Amino acid sequence: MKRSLALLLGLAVLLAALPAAGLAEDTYSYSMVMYNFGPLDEEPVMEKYWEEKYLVDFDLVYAEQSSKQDQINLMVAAGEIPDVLQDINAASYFDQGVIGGWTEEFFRENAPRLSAYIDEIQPAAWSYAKYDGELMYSIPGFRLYNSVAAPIIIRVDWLEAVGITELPKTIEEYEEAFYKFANDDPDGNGQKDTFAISATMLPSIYGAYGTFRGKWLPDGDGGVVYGDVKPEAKEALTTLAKWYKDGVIDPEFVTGENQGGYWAISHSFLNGSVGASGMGSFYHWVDATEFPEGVMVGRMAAAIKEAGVDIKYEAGYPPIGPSGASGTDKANVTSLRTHFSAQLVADEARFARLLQIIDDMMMDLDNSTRASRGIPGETYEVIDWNGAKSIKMIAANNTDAINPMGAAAWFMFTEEYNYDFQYMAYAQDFAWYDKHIGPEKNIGYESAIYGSLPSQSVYKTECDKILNEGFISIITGEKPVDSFEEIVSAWYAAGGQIMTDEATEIYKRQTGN
Amino acid sequence: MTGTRSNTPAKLGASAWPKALRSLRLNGDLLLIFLPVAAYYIVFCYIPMSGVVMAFKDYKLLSGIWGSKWVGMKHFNMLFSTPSFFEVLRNTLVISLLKLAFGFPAPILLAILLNELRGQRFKRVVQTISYLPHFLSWVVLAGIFIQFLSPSTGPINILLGMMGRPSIFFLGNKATFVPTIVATHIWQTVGWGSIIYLAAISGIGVELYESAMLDGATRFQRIAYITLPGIMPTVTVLFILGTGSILNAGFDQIFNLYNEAVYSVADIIDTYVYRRGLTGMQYSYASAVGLFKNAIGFLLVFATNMIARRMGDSSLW
Repeated sequence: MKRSLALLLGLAVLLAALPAAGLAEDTYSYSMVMYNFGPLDEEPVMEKYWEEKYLVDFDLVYAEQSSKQDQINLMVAAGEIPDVLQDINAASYFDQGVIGGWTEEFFRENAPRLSAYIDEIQPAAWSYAKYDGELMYSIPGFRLYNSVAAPIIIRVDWLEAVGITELPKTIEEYEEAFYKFANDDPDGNGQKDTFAISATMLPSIYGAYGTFRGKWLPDGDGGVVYGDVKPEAKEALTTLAKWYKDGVIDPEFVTGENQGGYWAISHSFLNGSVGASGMGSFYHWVDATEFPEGVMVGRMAAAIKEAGVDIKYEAGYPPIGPSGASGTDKANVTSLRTHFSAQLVADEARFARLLQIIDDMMMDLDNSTRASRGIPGETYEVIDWNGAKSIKMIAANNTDAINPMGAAAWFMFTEEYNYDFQYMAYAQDFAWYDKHIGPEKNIGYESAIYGSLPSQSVYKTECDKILNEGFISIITGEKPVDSFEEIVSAWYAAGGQIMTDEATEIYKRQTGN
Repeated sequence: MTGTRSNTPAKLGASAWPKALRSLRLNGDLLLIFLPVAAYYIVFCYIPMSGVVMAFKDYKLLSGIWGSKWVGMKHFNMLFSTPSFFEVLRNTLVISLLKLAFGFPAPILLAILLNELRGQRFKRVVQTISYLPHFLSWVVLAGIFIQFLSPSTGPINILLGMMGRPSIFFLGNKATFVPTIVATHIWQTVGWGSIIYLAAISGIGVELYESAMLDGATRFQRIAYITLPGIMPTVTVLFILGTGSILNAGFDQIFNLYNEAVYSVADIIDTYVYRRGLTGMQYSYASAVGLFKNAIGFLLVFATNMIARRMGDSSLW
């Protein structure tokens, strides 16, 4: 009995080993640690689908998002470097030679459709991917959402209550509205308990004066300058300090508008202490009243609905300053989400095949929709909505349901596949954008350089501390506005000059000067 | 004689080695039982400790800890030459010492108070409620406290307003931030901390209290002359251990509660290093900071222990 059991076990082991041996010798295999929303099924349906389609072997390695970097670092330290890497610290992996680089020519040859797409959307992205100025270390992808600047949301019921009928545009008009929000009891409860703005509206005020905090901006002289230290920042601080003194700015702005939970919820806006907010992205504010049932509602809009408060808001214009400048925070649309191990890139034929697959998977609308949403007719369907194509999920309206089968983000090699897919996937959000925002309100400051500075890790913490502490002291009146120059020179001395030089160098390289 | 573990008197001139062998023969079974524990500490605590050399190297993933380049004191110099270093060190010490001064006696007091309670049910309820906060993470607690202490909508300030007092921005004001940190720390830890003292108190013989009562000792006299001396060894040991973490002012708590307006009193070593570590895999730098903190902690434990021993009280070793 025992012996036959052992025989059976032995046979089982042998049988299990057979398919592996039976694989064709020239089948390329790729181990990949991708962005994910949780663990995979035992045999993910979509992994099998792509393997059969492209005749290669994909080995999806699950690593929990929260500890992903550490897990990948461990794999690298143990010498088992995955072929395809996401969510890594690209700068230090590049420094340490863990990731590989290839020529633009090689890429154009093997990924012609992606190349044309990059040329069309953002040609500068080629230089972003060239960490050493020569070879490409990642594939640029583009996030449609990032083409929309941070929103300005203003309560129209409050505007109405204080007798303003049009959305404010200039900083003077905003000032008038803000002072009335703070003084004229817009919530009509007979108490002076309202403010106009809190933390998230401040960036747009700097924007009105022609600068932006935390971004490198062209200095008009071929170089770049840090937005915080431009003289325009002093003008903005003068206004902000006055507003703070006059009770326009909620003193609690120092602790932020969010008091826990999902990051893009503005509790200050929700509980009626402020009448304008620049929280989150525009899609957080998308309300579903105009859409058919079963569509996505923005997180902030949902929070307002859930709280049962009577708040009517509209997307506003970024305030226009004395020199005509305006703008909120705008991210670069480019995203470099995937890197490849030096070993894979050195294995030219195997890497070329993967690039061809990525080109087909990311650029073909049918393929990218499948990669993201699973099986047509089973987990999703493409429907006609609002005069365009849109994706409707069948099983459940969330990623948890499609992640285990190897869909969601498991095969997202480039940021959100392509713009056509994104227009389809986020049709409701962009319909809301067309109706409420549009190009006139979509004005933002974008950093003049892409990526981080080499010496940032050494100086940035100290430099940020000087600025953050100093600016808050000026706004709250603890220090006079004239201490601005002092703060600026402290910043330059603490490493700001070194970072400015580095940023200028990167700027020149990326703009090709 | 068989089976006894008493050592036979050592023969004159016997070297240490046979002595060790004999001890092994006598206590072999006990040592065998101890072996897994020793192995655990060696494998999981002592061997990894050698990784501390990372603090003196430029750690690169591909070269590993031992293959990376030696850089001497570079990371320590970087730490000490940071303009903010003395500010964050000062903040760390101030917050830590205040927590020790007020947070250390609090659980002792609570334990004594609980011990004096007559109603068992009430005692149990108080005990459970007081140690519940221990199980909540600061991420959650911070959200609660920010709302609770809010100058406009927080209940505490609404109460102050009803008494005709101006509202206080506890977390946004340099003067009130540190006391708030200490107070919320005590609130969170006092119940949990009292458990060990309650255990120590329950170890004191009931006959001591009974005879004291017969002698007419008052409640306070019983506390002062029986309970306190009875738990003094526990207090000493915990205090010695407490001094070891003097450079840990409570990262979770401060990170979740601080803001830029109070940086000058709230930014501690851990929060500063965390913000700095965000932008790169600075393992070596982080190791250097950790080593510095632990070296100070060890020195303090050592010194406090020595003082405790000199004073004739109980000590760690």
